[in-house]
Amino acid sequence: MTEAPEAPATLEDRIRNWSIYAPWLQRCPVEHWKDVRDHAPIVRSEQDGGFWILTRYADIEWAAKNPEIFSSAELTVPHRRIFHEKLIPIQLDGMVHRKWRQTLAELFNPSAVNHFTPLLRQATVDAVEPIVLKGRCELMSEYASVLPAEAFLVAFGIGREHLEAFVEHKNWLRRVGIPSARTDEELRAANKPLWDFFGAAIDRRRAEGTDGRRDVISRLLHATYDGRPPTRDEMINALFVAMLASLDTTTSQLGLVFRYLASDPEARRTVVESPEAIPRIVEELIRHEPVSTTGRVLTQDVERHGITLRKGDRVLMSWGMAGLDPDVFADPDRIDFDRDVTRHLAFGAGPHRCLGMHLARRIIQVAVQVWHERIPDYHLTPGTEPTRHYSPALGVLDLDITIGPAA
Amino acid sequence: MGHTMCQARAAEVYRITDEGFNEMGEFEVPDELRDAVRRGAVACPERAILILED
Repeated sequence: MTEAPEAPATLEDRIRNWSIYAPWLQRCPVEHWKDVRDHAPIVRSEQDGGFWILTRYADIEWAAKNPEIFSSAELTVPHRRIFHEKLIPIQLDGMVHRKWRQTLAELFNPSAVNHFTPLLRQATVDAVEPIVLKGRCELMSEYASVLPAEAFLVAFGIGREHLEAFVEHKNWLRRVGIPSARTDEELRAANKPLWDFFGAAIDRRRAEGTDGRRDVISRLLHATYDGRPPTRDEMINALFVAMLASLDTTTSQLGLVFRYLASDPEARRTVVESPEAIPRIVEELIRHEPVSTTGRVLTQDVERHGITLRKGDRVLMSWGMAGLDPDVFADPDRIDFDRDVTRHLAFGAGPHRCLGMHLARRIIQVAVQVWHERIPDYHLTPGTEPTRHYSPALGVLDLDITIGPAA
Repeated sequence: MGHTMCQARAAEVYRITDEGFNEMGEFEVPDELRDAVRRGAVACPERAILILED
């Protein structure tokens, strides 16, 4: 096992070298984050061409709610093109963005999520039953990666028989396709398998009919954008974005939720004895266990805390880390399921607030409920330690769980 | 699309629409629901619920 790379010696060095991809930052990003946050509200990293880091909840929320200054045209730091066209709706600004949100919002609303919950539950039961029989599992590959993919297919009306192909394409894209693509041509080639997968799903649904169906593809086939039907390419674009935005984030959150619950017998007992508490338990864990980071780019100069952020500068948006801000949350490092103030920024804020947030919450709530109905007691397998990462989302790569009480 | 957090924290008080919005408008709070009303109000990420004390 290789030694974890050492962090730069001083806080100033760590700030200058901050990047969610930095090897030295993969193991303990939260601890390092708190040092940076306590140092100053706005700092600058020199990595990836240089970018600002907003360290306080108030400033992250302010940037999120001022999209005309903080544009989503460049979404990640460093900025990586996924398509030639802008990602719908996540990379859009202004009226175009608003119109796409109007088209897409009702497809993911609480009523739709309630409608799909029985199918989500079934997929979750199917995932947990083999684990019960084995008595031990690698939770990330056997549970946390599976559930968001199954939920995606359910919500989008794509048959479960496509699960394996879907997951394979997506894993290849993330691990090989995108990282190794150097030109637009190579990126187009890397995206092709999934682009074709979604195109085929749309064509299939159109042929099979959409009567009485509430899945996203069926509804998209009847939706209007700016008074006209979305084009096939626009629909594929939106599906692709939904996939990129939802799978790894939800998987990471599930990993962190179960890592915590595996360590806290009292929390497990509460889940088992009072399942009605699950939504607020999940919400507090979403606050406490950060997952998501994206970015923005300045459209104009703006001053904040005596610092001038200049037009064209990039800004890191550490949504998940905002949940630990002591200015907003009393005793933020403590997990308190009865906490009053729960308004974390894990799903963002402002016009780009996560469209999938209700579905994500439901996936995690059902995952916790179904698991604990069958596996009330479990623990991290002795001698194992989850491998932690900060990119592309914060989480664990592996989580070795043994059923039953710890020895 | 609303957050639905008010209903999630205090279902006995708050009703939401299919879009997840609270469209209840102003209402009087009976004494026995004061705690629930407060719990739901502070849960709102948009701070959209205002409590008016007499």
